[in-house]
Amino acid sequence: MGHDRCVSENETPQRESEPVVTAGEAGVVPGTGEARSAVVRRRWRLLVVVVVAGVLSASVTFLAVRHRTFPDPPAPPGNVDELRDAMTDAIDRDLGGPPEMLIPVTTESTESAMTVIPAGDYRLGLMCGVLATQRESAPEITVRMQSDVYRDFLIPCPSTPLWIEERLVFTEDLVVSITAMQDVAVGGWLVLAVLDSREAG
Amino acid sequence: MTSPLRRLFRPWPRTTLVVVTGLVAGLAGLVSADLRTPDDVPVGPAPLPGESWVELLSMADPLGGDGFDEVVTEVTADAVSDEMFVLPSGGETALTLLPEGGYEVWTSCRFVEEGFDQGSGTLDMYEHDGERHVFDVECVAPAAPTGETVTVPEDTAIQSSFRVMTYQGHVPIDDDMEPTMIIAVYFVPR
Repeated sequence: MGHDRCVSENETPQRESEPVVTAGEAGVVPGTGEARSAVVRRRWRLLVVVVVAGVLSASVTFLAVRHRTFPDPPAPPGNVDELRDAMTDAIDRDLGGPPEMLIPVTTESTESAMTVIPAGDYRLGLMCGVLATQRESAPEITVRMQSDVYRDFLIPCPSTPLWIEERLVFTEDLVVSITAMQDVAVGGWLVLAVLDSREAG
Repeated sequence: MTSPLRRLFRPWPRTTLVVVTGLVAGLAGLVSADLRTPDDVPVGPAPLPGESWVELLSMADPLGGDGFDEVVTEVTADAVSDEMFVLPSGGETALTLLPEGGYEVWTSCRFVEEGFDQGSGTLDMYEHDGERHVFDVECVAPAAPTGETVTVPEDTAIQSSFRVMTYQGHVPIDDDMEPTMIIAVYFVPR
């Protein structure tokens, strides 16, 4: 498209960059009111084109590059291993490191293996997690810790890491077993019991 | 011949305008994505939802029932070994840590309720990752060998339970009532 500039003698140098309309293109006489409104309309059209093209291009480029550059955001745990890892990470963060004893109880086996706990002074932690694929879960779960006595705790499910205020003092090596019981028979949960001799941070 | 600068300031063809705008915007998108720091991107495990409360419902001693103390004293009075546990019948379980070695199993048993003097029960002992021992024992006192032996190659956790199987007494027996026994189980080194 050939364009003959139509610049009045009064225009400043800065205005040279502004788009102008030729008399032949707009069909108007330069310097008249119609010519000025034609200029305004053309500027608006250009502005719309610039904005639309800019937004589209920037969005597409940004999304494409971001997807390629960064990994997808982490998905909620979908299987027991992922759930256990996520729960263990949460417990590690609370303790400032891995716990000394970690006893899992799953939906499939509601009673843990017997675990030998050396004599000592322990902090007891409990945590319940639910698989992201589980549509229904019982809101609460009863956790029984059996050693020389039975201790029954009610905890929410899912829960954050929960720490029992009273520390457990074992004067000799003991065998401990953890059992989880729900009033509603739904699955997809995992309970972790933690015994750790460190002081709370 | 028009200089490039003057051409720049002349009205651009629409195609050129769109292409240049797209290129500039695309470059802007690329730069802004590249400037994102890792802090802006969630990494690690997804946060887990969950509430933060815990309630201690109960703390119970399996040997804390009414009248148990006296019977526990009786069945342990003639202790024949330091490796032992005491367990009531009726669904309770005992967890014991048995040091490595070979043992004879001895038992001593008494009824909690008055009026019962003869009976027997079944003792179920399950070694962690090992054997299961299920055998009948007569409710006798003082402690007597059962004939059962246990050998563990290393310190082993054992879970045990005891069920009343037979009983006789001098009191009328309700069909719904089952007396409670307390049994002391001793592991006597061979």
